[in-house]
Amino acid sequence: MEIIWQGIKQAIILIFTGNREVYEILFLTLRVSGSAVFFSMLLGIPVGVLAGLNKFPLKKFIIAVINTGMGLPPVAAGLIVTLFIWRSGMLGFLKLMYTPTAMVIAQVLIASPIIAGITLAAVQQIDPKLKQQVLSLGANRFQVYWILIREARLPALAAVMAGFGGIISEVGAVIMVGGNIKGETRVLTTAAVQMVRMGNFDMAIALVVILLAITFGVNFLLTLIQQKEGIGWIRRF
Amino acid sequence: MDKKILEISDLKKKYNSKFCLDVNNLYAEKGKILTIIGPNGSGKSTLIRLINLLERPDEGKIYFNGHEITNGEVSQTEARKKMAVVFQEPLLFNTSVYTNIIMGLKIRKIKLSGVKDRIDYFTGKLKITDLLNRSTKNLSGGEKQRVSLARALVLDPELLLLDEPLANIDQSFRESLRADLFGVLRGYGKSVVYVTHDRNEAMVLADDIAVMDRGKILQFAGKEEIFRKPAGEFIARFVGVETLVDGVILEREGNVCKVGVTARKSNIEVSVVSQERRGTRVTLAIRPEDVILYSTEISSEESSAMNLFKGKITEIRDIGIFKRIEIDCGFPLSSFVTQNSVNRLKLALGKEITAAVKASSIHMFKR
Amino acid sequence: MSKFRFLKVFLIFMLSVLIITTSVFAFSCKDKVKNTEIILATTTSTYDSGLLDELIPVFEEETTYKVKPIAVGTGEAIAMGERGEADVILVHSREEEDRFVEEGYGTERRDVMHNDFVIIGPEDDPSDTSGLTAVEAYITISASEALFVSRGDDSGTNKKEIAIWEETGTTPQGDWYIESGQGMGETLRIADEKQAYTMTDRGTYLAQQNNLSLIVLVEGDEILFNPYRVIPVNPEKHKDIDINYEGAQAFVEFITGEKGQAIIKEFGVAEYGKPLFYPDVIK
Repeated sequence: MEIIWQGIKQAIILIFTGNREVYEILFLTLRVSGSAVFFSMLLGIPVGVLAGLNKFPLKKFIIAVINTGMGLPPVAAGLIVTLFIWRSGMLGFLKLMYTPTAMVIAQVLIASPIIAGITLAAVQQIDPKLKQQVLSLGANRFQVYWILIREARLPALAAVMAGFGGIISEVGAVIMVGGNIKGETRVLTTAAVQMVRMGNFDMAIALVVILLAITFGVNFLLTLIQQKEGIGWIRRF
Repeated sequence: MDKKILEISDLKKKYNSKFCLDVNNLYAEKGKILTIIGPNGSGKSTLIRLINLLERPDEGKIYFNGHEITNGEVSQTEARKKMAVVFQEPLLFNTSVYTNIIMGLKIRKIKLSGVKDRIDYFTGKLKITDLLNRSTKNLSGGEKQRVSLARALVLDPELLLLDEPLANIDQSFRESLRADLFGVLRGYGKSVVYVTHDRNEAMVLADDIAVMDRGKILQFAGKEEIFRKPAGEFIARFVGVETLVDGVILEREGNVCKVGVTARKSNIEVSVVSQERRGTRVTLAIRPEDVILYSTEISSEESSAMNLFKGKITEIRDIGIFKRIEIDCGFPLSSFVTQNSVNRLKLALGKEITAAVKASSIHMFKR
Repeated sequence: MSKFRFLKVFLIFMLSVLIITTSVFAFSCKDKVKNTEIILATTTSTYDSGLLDELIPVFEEETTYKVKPIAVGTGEAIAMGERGEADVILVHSREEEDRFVEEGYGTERRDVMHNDFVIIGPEDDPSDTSGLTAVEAYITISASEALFVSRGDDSGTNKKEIAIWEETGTTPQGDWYIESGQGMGETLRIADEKQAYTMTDRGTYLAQQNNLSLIVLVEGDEILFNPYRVIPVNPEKHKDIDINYEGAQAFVEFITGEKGQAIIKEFGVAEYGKPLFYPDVIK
């Protein structure tokens, strides 16, 4: 009990005095997961929209793959990426192992199916006759997709937040492809694990507090949107 | 210049497991309202979707303003930009009413500043000016359909297509929306194709009417002709002819035929203005509005009608403003009379009555 | 667009985004990383002690190399060396190291530092292990079926523990023998929680001492000697992989050199009163 209380006090001090190590870890986490969610969006939203709105052969199979990917364990994602980028792998010459880039790639592998799957489900909810109405208004192919994505913008935003929440709190992938190297590939989750290992509880608690703050913030936003209490400007977008 | 904004030629499309759409000739004239009426399942909505190129025909051609649009020479998107469609469901986007209304303009890249007057005009006419900033989420069905109509009208399309726009609206809202919509359409001056299963809407709105059933056009003509001279029993019933009797032309004198009608008791002769030949088997169509009732003893001076039928009243039914009277004069004959007439003639069940019908009011078609 | 064409376009689109993503990042990093990267595979006990956090920055300042220390068990570190996934390894398992070099995977082995293992347990020492030799202690622990936590993870520490069990002639099994499968820190915590016996390297024990109620009961026995050696990976064995042999050698020179050894000698003294590791090259 004493330790926990000690830890929390120290954590507050570390956070508010701008402890360099803590902030270094925080910014790397945001950089890695932020880039990952950005690329996952670029990949996931179009995939979800296209798969949801069109008929094509193997459609059911591809949707099943996306849904399975949604539940991909981070460790599995890490292992898959490792097999490609380690020195004996196909992409070994790129020297990506133990770099933030590798971490981004692994997290893209985790988040993209989540974003694609939720967007896909949202888009399938749209009345199929709406597409005909949009076409009758004179829309070309791209305008149709753009308008229907806007129709599903609230669930799509929720998808992105779900993707972000998932990757910022995972350990399995980033530790495998990143190696948890101090100052280079150490993020909130892996740093917390390391701090606990080394007996440095204050740091560990500080890092966990920050992580919780971020995930809570993201989930809070997600909940607001789900409950459609809006964020006024998003609805008028 | 070509008067036809739309022309359909030999169009065929299978639209459900049973029926095939088969329209060999149909056209809409510029500046006029063509109403397509028919029961559910007759293929009307499929026809609208084909005209708007939302579906491909199995065979046939569609011409817009003289140019064929079904052969791919003109892009589908370009063709659609000359039209606007309002469907049975409002199909709005989940943003504000105003954004919905201008959505078509934005898609067609029409400058908003240039059409501000048009937007104001139609939102005013459809009575949705107060709703402009509201989200479409909580609007009533009627309000949503008004928005959908405004969205189409502000595009000022060369051809406006309306697929049963009032069908899904609650009775209570339908009257007012119908009044507002028809007010817009009648003064509109542009070409309209209006699809409905409600013959009253057609009666009020149409210049020309096409009657459809099971994928085929049964009759295509001006409003008057359809109502006065329905080309078959189905159409006759659809346009409100209550009395249909079968018979054979016994003889013809000049332009008046004497038709022998098989009645319950004996043969009755009915005089009908027509050029058909003796011996032709026909069906007579008598509109209830054309049946005038008299109390039993009248002389030939009181009525110039060539047909006087005597019979007993078998049913008196209230149908709003009018009362429908059914008389058994050897065959069932229906008449519409006002409450006044009911009182004046002391109409009651079982009463003996004389019904007069002019030979020129009876429509006849071959069986 | 026909259905099949759509599917093809769709798949090509997905593939291109994936490729573009990878390339954009890869090529921005590639130049920086050419031959300045050294992957050092080492054990969790070294890593968790914090020694590398002191050594590496100094090395990186003196040279232009960038060291990437990856902490895994000794077994895994050696496996990484065999696969060429590391440039140099720093481990503490004599037998494995010898085999590694003999089979040609490593070019030489150099002593770096040493400390010792100690057997720790609850203050009241229920099995009376205090003052015994390591082997004797294990015998009485297993005889009394007192709780014992093992690393159970193929690490150097684990291999030493198993070697001692072999000396006792018995195989530890039963509910009293717990395998944590984790690093030393976690294992110590589990042992503390359960008030069990365990064997640990002195370095980790000293670092965690304040959080533990367990005390040192057996120490000084020859068998508990824990030497660390550094071995560069042999590039000849991995012609198709770019092993940074020069970097590995530079690192080896550094930690067996004056500066590196001095850092090792001082490490932990201020905090814990005793050094966590004893340098082998200087005294």
